[in-house]
Amino acid sequence: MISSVKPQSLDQSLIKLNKKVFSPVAKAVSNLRLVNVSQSYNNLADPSKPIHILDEINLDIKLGYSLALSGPSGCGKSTLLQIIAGNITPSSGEIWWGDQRLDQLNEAARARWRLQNLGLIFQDFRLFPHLSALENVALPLELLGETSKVAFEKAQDLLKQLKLDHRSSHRPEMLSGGERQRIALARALVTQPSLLIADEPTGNLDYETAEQVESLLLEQVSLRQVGLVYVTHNLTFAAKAQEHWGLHQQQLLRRHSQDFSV
Amino acid sequence: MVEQQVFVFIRRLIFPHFRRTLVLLFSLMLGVGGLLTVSGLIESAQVSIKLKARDLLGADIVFSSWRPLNDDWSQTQKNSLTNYGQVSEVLELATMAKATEEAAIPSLITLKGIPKSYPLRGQLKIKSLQVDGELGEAQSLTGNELNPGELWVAASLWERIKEPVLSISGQDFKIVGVIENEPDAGFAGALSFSPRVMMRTDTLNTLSLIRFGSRVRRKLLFAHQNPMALKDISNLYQQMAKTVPDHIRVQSYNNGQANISILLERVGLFFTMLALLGLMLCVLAFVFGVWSLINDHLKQIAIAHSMGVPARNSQKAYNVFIIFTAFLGSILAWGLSQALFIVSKPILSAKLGIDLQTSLHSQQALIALGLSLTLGLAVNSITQRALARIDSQALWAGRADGISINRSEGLILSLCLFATITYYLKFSSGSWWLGLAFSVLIIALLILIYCLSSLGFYVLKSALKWSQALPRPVGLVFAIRHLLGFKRKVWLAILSMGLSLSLVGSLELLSESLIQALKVDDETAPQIFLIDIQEDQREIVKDIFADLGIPSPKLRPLIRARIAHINGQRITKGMADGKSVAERFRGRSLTREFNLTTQNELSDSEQIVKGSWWSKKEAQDPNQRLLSVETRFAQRMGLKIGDRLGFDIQGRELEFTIVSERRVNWLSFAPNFIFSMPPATLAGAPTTWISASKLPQNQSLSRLSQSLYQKATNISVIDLRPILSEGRQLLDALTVLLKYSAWGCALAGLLLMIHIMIRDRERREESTRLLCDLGLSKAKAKRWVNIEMSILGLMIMGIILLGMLLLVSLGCQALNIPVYWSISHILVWLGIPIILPILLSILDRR
Repeated sequence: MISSVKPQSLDQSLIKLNKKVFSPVAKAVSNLRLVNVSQSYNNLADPSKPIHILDEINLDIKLGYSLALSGPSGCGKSTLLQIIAGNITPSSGEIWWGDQRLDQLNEAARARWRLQNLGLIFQDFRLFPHLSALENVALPLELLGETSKVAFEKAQDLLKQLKLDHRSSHRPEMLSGGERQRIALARALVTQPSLLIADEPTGNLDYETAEQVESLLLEQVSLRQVGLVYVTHNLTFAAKAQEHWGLHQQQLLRRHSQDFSV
Repeated sequence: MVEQQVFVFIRRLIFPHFRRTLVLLFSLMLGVGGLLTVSGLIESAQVSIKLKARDLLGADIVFSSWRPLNDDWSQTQKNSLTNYGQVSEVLELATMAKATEEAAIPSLITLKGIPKSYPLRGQLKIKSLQVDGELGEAQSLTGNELNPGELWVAASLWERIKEPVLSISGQDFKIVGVIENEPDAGFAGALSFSPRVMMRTDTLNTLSLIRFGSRVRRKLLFAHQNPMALKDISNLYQQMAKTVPDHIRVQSYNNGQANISILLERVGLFFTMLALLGLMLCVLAFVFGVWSLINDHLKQIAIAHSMGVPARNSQKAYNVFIIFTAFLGSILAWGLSQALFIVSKPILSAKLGIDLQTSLHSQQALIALGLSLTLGLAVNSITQRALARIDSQALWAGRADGISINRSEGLILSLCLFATITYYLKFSSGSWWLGLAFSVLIIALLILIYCLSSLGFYVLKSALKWSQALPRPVGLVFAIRHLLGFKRKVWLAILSMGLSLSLVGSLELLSESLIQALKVDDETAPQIFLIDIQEDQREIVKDIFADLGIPSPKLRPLIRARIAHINGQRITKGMADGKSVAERFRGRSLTREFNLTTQNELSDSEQIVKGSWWSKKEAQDPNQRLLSVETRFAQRMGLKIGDRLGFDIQGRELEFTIVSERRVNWLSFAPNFIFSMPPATLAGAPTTWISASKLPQNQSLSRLSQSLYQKATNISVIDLRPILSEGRQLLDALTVLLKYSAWGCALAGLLLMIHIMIRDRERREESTRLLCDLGLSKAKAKRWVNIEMSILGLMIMGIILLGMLLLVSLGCQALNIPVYWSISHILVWLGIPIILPILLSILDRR
């Protein structure tokens, strides 16, 4: 198993601010645990037979490590990812963030937790079309209560690190797919989250760009010591994760584990 | 097979997008239907008046004058006309009448003296008064049935007195019937404060009512022996019109109702303009709707293409869809116009006093179809071209961002729209200038709204920039960025709601200002008018006032005259038949009969704005023929200081020089005049006197009327209150009609807004979802949308406020009334644009 590592690079001022603004769920460094999580939906055709998506899933997500999820289409990967992100409450089971039970929080508190602790990356980038690259990246910081000036400065620094500072004033429609995903990565990283969640981050990119984005993502995860959970169909990309789980018939199957610590 | 593909496509266009198709249909229905309703009603009223012109005139040809028709020309015409048909002479004057009881209160009536042969055309319907005091069935009668000493009275008067005897000029007359229909009443029947009474002309002449300078209208009616000899009638009219003296007005049955036609034309033009404005907003909504529908359909097009459906088939499907929508829209528009016509017909028929024709409206369907199809095909052609420009690879891959209408196509569409508006107004008014001016005004308004919106965007952008370092609500920042990110849509929303709501709000404020201006100030405004006071009755009037303890009235002289020339240029009847509305208006204004007055000093309701008032010395010099003109009349007629005006005063021509322009407060309800001269210049002219008075609180109008009736029967006492109330009712009716039309425009604006909302829905949903994924609670995300809508509402509110300021100020300036800023009205019109977008957004979210 992977051992838990506390990320060291969290901005202390941000933690203070978050504590003030987002009490009671303050930013903390914790593992995320899924205990006997099941998810099922009503079957409209036959209400007596609900559709089971996930069945008694147990997963310990150690922060600082990368975890890949793969499986056939419709097997519930994205649902699992959304449960991890607190976007969906599971039908049964528990989700723990350290010693805080997330599934018992209300929607607003889960949203606050997500804002403080998670960074999300999507297959179709999901950038706001009316905002420039810089504004898109700075938005999560503004949501956390930073002034725009500070948020823009931090976002600009990050874009510089990702070699995208020359694109900061451009709107998403003016950027290539790879650039858009790198902007999305910057947006996910800007709040210095504990955990990154990526849903097929390279699914919409060509092979070469996909490789560049994969490298950048893993490099940033490694550099910033954040956890990463990502869904992919690309087994080569999945193999780059420290743990690779496959979802099959509502169950998780371990594909491989690189038992090394950072 | 090809047909099948097209139909599958059409089915996919209509059924999954049923609501949008419905909104498209509504856009066409409202825009085209509104225009058809207005044009249909006006045309119907005009044609009805033409068709009933003979009845409305009561003859084939009528010549009328305020002077006795005993001049050479009239005598010659009378003799000549008797060779062709029948001639009949009618007199009309206002006077007082009362029931025979001692305590009865005299009231104002319009007395008409009719000969035995009256009416020559049309039907005079009378309900005979039975012995038991009940009224019989209405029957067509002539003046022949009326004996000396007998009267027919209007129903309103009969209802008031309910007594078979009426006293006029001190003599008792027997009421033998109640007038059901009077052929040549024109449109005066709508006013009931001066009910009609008919007696034989020879009886009227025996009364002492017609005196020197009395305001009596004489009419000579002529009916050709052969009613179908239209050419002969026309020739006779032409002959008379060429030689007629200026103080006599000749009307034939086909131009007899020119005044009401002009009035209808002018009122109709205003409504047409409102309808055209609505049409423009509906066209915008339609274009936006088609554009957004095709954009949202791009993926389906791509799939169909990838499945082997040729591009021409999808294009054909769109063509069929648009044509189908236009066709259905035109039917709905026609249906709407018919429904509105049916609803408005009884109201307008009652107001105009004639039954409106309905037979015209079959051709309206063709117009609706033509307009809708032209519009649909123009929009389709542009969207198809935009569709053809899309990169086929992007379309194939589903990456096409959407079709975009390029500037030149947009410009061509706009030019076509404005050309249609210009031509339509030219067609309605006969004036290219009016059409062009209206189009230019609309374009200027659009540019103004665009500039103001841009200014708003600039302010918001600058505010965002300047406040970067400050702690600020992120929801507000996000909402502003959202608005700045979709400027075109925001501009369209501002345009749709701003333009239409400012129009409705302005009309509301304008009518409120008018009502306030017409409100008689109980403290100062006069309540009664005395007219037709003779020179020898001035002292009698003063004595009666003194006896009753009423302050002595200020009497103003009144002399009837016509303008004979301006700076030597003769004013002829032909000027009233000008080509354009403006020319006809000027012609009619100059050729009508005027009331002149003489005075040494300005009255309280007058103020000199140009030139100078005459000195006492000048006022006493009969050779100093100086003239003061009301300033707005001078402006409209192009008169200026130093101009020479010749007046024909009962046959004698005198020339005056304009030395001043006066502003007159017409709403003071004091006797006000357009032309005023020094007293010495008109000494000896046929003069009657007029007075406006306010009664003390303890004094009733009835006592004054009774006293006056006893000592001077010819003096008419006019109670201002019922007249004002009647005027207010008419104003209210007109305002209501205008408001409905303006609400039609507002509905068109709302349709455009709904199109924008529908088009924007997916993006807003995605934006809200993403915000929630990033860590914003759903409640907060919804609140942010509301903040965005509130800012949009504030921007619209700004436009409405400015629009209302501009339009109301211009309107009040044109009507010469003070602006009444009703705070409650303003708040309502400013509140609507804030509430409406939020409401639409909430409804849309559901």
